[in-house]
Amino acid sequence: MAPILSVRDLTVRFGGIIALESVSFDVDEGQIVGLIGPNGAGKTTLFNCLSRLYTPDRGEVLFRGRPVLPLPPYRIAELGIGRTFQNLALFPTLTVLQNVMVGLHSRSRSDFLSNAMRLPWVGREEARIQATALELLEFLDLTALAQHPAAGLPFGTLKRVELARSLASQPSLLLLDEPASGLNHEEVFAIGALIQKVRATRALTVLLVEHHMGMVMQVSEKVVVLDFGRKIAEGTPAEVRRDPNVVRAYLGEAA
Amino acid sequence: MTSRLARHAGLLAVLALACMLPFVLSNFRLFQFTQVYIYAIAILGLNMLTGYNGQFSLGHGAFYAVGAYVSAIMMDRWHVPYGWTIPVAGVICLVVGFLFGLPALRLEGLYLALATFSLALAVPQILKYFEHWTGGSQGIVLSKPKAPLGLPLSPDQWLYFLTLAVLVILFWLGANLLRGRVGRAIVAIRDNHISAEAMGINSALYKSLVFGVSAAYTGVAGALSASVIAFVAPDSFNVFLSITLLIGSVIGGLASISGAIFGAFFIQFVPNWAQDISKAAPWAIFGVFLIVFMYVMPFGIAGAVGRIWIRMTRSRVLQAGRDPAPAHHAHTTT
Ligand SMILES: Nc1ncnc2c1ncn2[C@@H]1O[C@H](COP(=O)(O)OP(=O)(O)O)[C@@H](O)[C@H]1O
Ligand SMILES: [Mg+2]
Repeated sequence: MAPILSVRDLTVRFGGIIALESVSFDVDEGQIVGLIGPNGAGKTTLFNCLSRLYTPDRGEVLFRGRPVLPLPPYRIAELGIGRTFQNLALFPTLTVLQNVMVGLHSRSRSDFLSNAMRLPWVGREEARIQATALELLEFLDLTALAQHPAAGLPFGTLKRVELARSLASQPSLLLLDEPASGLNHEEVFAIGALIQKVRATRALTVLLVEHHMGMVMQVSEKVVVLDFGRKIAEGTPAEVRRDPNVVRAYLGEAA
Repeated sequence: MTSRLARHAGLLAVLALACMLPFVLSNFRLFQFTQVYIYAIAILGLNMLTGYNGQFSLGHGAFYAVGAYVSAIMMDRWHVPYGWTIPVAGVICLVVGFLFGLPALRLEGLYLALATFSLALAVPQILKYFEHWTGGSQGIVLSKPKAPLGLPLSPDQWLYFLTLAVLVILFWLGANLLRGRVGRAIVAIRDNHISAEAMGINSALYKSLVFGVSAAYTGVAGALSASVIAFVAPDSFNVFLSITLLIGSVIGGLASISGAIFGAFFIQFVPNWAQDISKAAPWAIFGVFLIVFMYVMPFGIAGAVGRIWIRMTRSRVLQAGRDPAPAHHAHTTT
């Protein structure tokens, strides 16, 4: 089967800094792939290329065989690529429910004119958007907070809201950037279990950036390791753990 | 839903009251109220742009002027009935606003404020320059339209009802727009434009469209003012008008629909009160009013009213076993 995502020779420079250098790897449909590496290795930069916030200097990204890089950022969600952000990027003045409803933007169609005139089909679409969003809140145990503005909620809760929002666009590939950062030990494994549950129930493929090695190694089928913008290893968690390059890169870090 | 019913009942009561005013107020007071409604339409347009979408405009007086002149020139030159000039002014301002919004995409915050400000500076001079069409500094004198269909209303009464009707329609459209999918996207862009794009929102297109719609509202307000005042001149659309609209927008409540009406009352009546209090230093008094309002009501008059409203309806809503309706969102009230 063809991979759902192919990253080919991806290179990104910021002035003198090489954030990514000729990185290539594939993600197969249905997998959870861990993307790990020390701070500054280029993991977030890679995500930002996939969601078209950055334009790489060289390389190619194929999603289901289609090139992604010619598209503008706002076309990525409708392709079926969803993401969360390392440092939360919610809409603080919108309620939790509204945040998730915005997540359905790419799965709905009504425009300025039809919204202003409140045409009957707009009402039906709005009801569908709200019902889907409420289901997701239920799924992630956020129902009680539906009407609460996103601003002012605890960090761990906001991480779940972002997950709900990213799932709202019904992605087939989900990019999670450090979903467990800032969470305590139990929460970390709860999120790990949640990621597996989401993958199972929603036929998802997940690319997971995470510093918490225990969790990544537990949930991933494959792990890609970056260091200073280069891919230094790729394989099953067991293989990667034994890899001398990986051990060296993580020397001094909690591996 | 108890709170929604209460709200509809409240709106109807206010509307009924508004319909009675022409029969109890003096012509001058009625004229002032008409002017309030005109300002309210203009401020709602500004709120969409600045309050909801986070694009600052210090130059909405320019769109007000364009609307007024489009209407006045059509009436004066081509004898188009005033009723037709109002939607035409709206459409022209929609296009002008959209086109201005496109390059403005590159400007953020204060830079956009300055760019719009220069628009406000330039428009009165441009109007003077095209003297052949605009009558130069002298402006264009118009005649007040009479009530149609033999309605037993004076021109002032008729214009009051016309303005009220336009206001009701535009507020209904605006509320629908801001409440649904598009409205959420508009606020999402303001809150975090990067993740808004990641959610699939074409923020460049949305921002330009909001600019267009905003300009259209303000242009319609300008067109109404041409008929109501029966006169247009470049100097009534100076920079001060733009600032006044922004003051109304902030004092009323930036991201708020009802706030546009509160803000309009403020900019229409408070300067007069200031004048009554001190003939010598009315603007100092006005400044004090401004500061007091902002201090007492940080989320504008609408924010304060909304809080009182929630307090009044909450007990009943809780009895009905529902969530206390959208506990006031930090900046977004309706
Ligand atoms: N927008 C940017 N401008 C300049 N340098 C950047 C930018 N984004 C990332 N970098 C640099 O690229 C390198 C990789 O960063 P990043 O992808 O955030 O690493 P990671 O997510 O693996 O911690 C770092 O050296 C970082 O400073
Ligand atoms: Mg990172």
